Amino acid sequence: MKERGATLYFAVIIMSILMAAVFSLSSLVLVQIQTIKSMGNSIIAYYAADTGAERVLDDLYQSIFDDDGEYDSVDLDNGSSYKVWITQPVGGALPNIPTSGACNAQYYCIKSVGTYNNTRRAVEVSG
Amino acid sequence: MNGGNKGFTLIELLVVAGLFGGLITLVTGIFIASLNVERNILMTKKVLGEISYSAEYMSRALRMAQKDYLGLCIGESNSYELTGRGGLKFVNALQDYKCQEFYLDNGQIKTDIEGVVGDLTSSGITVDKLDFNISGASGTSDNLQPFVMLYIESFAQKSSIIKVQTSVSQRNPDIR
Repeated sequence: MKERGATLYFAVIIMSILMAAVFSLSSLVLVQIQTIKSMGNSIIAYYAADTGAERVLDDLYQSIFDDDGEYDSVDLDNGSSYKVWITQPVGGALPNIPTSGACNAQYYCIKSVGTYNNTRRAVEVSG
Repeated sequence: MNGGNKGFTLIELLVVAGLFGGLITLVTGIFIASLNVERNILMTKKVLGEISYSAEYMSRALRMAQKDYLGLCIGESNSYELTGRGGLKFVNALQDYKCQEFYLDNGQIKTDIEGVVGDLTSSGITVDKLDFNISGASGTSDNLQPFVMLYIESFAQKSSIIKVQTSVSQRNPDIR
């Protein structure tokens, strides 16, 4: 009778080992999926942020100065979006642009945040 | 036999073999599925790598575009021009002021520098779309800094589609 009990234990142990192997494998794959997704989102968000910075630089070049230094969020065709803030150093000469002690540049500091699928990337430009 | 070991009945054996068979099928199924997922991940990584490289290469080149004063590459005094095959042509200051074109050919992004053609993406991935949208790039009278919107849509076998969009302006001042 003792040996028949042992068979049950063996079966339970083997099944647990198999289950553990499968669960660890799937958790590894899940982690990989998460990583690659956020990597892809990150690249798309970065280019959206870059677009925002370029847009505002273009505005500055054409002497278009935003009222409160905060641009409305803009959605791009690929589902990403960007939002831009602009400040100038204390005592700066640009009209309308708010001043900020944190801006350590000669004329302006631009911060652009690109968002795609909850992944955000930011780009800062100063000049 | 000795002691109480009388072996197993057929039913017991069938039940055990069934349970074990089911478990093995499940494990193998999950293993094969994860191998497939792994392959998709690798393909997506490849697409991401190649697309981010080509986007980086193109935006760097487009930033360094120079107005074509002589009109040898594109129309005189233009900065960028769309070409017949849906590409974009300009004078690149980084390439000794040679005439460079980016275009889509057979699912690959290619660059043509005065007849010398190079691939920006490999044949392992398919680029579905390469769109350029230009503004302020013609002549001097528009009073606008040349601006290019770049859109790439790409995938590889079984990978997800990656859509990248960005905008680039010419660094060399066009006006003032």
